[in-house]
Amino acid sequence: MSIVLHPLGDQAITIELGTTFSAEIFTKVQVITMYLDAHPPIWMIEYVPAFTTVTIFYDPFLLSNQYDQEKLPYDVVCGFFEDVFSVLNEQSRINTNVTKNNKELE
Amino acid sequence: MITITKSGLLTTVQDLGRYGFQKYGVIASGVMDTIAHRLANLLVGNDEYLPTLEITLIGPTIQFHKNVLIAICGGDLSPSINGEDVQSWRSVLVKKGSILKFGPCKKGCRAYLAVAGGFSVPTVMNSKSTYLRARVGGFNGRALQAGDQLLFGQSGKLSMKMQDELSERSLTNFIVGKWSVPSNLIPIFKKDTPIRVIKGRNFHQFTKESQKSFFYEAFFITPQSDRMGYRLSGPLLTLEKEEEMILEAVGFGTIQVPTNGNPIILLADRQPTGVYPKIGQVASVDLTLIAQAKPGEVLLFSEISHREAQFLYLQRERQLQILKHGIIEKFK
Repeated sequence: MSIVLHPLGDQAITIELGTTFSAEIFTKVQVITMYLDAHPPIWMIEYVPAFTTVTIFYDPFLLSNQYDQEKLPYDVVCGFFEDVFSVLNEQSRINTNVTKNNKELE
Repeated sequence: MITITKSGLLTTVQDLGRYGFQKYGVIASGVMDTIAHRLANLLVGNDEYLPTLEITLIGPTIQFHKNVLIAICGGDLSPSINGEDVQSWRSVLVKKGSILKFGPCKKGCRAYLAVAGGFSVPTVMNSKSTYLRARVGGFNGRALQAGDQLLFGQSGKLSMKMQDELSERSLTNFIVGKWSVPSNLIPIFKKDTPIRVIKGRNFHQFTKESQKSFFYEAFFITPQSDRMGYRLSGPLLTLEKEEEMILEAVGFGTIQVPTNGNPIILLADRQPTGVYPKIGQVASVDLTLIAQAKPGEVLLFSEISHREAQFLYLQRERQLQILKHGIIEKFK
């Protein structure tokens, strides 16, 4: 089971937790939204959960100013979620490997 | 206060959108042309998020009941005050009793009118935007009609200083500020300017032919286009193999392709989620061009990398920040 990160344009990221709908995958969706409710990053505008994905809309300018100006906002957001998944992994709330889908970035 | 003495085609109160509720299925709404809206606000000394009037294709006639600082940005709908043409992209001090009219739509299709202090309408779920279909927000949840009267919010210090400076010059019909928005921030609405699009997450699932057509052929904006989305017609886009898609979030500028093969660009009044494959996403810097394109016109898409799109967005935001600081310094 793996998590795939996809950009949704230049101001959002879609976290894909599976490709078919199941209770197990939807639980993961909820684990992530609960985490975001408890620890909302200041650059997050809002999140939209679905059956197998969570999409996070963010403020790229705020990200660029607050964090590494050398890094592009999407990379900072990916780094943030990789850290979140490893925290959740340690807590055994989510058990996954993260891959970044760079197909659409070519 | 203003009175709408003649309604135009579609004039609504909008701000930067109703965010934070899309997870409950609440539509974001907000202005179609974010840049024009933000610049209009900056020109009158407002914060960028204050509500403006989004004026579409045929403008209304508006009477002003007090002296007020205004700015009109975005598409050129031939605005005039008391019969005299008035420049867009500038601060303008309007005299009490004046009448603002719009004429032929020369460039683009949406103009934004900001007034010092913004328009005073109730806040509904953190926003003053009008969502027409649900009749939520804005002015009674609907487009403005003849006879409607709108009040202004409280002007800030910056607006008052700007107004004082203009008041020192003799008050004829209206007074136009000497400074304008830097030209690099004013979008150029030219036909045949390709819209830059980032490949969507389902791009590679389309046939090679469809992938090619998407970036090399023209698409018409059909009359079935509105604030929710533009329905396009052109070469039919098909998936390599039929696949069942799972409902997921879409954004402002997502280009999805329903089973009939005709793409739709999702805009301000989009649903928060969609089930169709995403062939692309309009780069944020080019959303202003989409907002100003009208039915009957042709769109061309060109590919931009995700990296470049982010870079251009940050660059434009920095230019806006420079302008913002420049205005504050100027009226210190």
